[in-house]
Amino acid sequence: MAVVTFANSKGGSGKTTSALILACELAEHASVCLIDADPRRPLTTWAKLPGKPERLTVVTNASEKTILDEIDAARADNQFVIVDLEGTASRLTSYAISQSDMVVIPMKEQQQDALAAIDVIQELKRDMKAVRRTIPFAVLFTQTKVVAKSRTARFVSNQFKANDATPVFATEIHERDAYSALFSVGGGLRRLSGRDVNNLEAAIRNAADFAAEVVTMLRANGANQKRVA
Amino acid sequence: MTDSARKALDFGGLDDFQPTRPAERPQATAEEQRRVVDRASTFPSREPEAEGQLNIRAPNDMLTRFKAAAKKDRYTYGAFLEILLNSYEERA
Repeated sequence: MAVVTFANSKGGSGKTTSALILACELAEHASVCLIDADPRRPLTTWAKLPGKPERLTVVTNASEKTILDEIDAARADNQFVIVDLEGTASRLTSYAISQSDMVVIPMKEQQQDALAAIDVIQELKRDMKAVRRTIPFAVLFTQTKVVAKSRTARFVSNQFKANDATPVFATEIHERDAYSALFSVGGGLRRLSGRDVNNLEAAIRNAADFAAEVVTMLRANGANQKRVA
Repeated sequence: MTDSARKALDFGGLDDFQPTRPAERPQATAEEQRRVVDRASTFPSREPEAEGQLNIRAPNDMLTRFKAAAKKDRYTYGAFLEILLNSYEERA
């Protein structure tokens, strides 16, 4: 069982999209609960569209005070629990982080996203001290250009990649038509039609690479050793 | 083969990840767990306040009676107002 939380205190950094594509990929093989803790409820809205994978459940977070119980309930019934947080620096974020086996920090290759990501990493370190355990984390670059990255994008991402104290996913979530389409069509990438979106196969490959990297990191940190007695 | 028919990768199976029941973890309650995080976190709570205030205009002797009755059994004004409301609703 593994709890994976997506956190960045800036809105629009790609938390919901990357949480959804990970959840759908994992749900091809495992039971997954996706906790929607964004007050705009984007994943709850998505779940009402057709095509939600059978092994994926979406739970809507009620409040800051209920998040720990919601995570507890989800981890009792699912192999993976994925928490999508709101884009603000809130105590809810800290509570969810404290229960996580891994924190994914999505960010666009922009200065404001980078500053918010650093804020989250600092809060995460305070939470680790509070709960007296190491919580693995990694920065995930999102909405990236496949080719011709801007100088600013290269400047921002290179600073993270050059810093050994800040792990970075080798996989980037690219800017893809298919990812936007998920929220209007419903379901996961594998249920979209190549006739409706551009370059679907590349998006599926990108999502699978990301999910594989998350699973590898979770295994490396022993999150797969937590079993039912 | 269509794009959507592409077979999902199997990650070498995911059966090594299994649900975890609460009994297997330390039995700290959610409230205790929150308190631990509260001591270190600098991110503020964004929850709306669960309490509000009510300014009541009434004759002075009525206000004196209300305050004295609440004070007698050490109720806060809010708690005492709830007792009065419950009693009123029972009679209705």
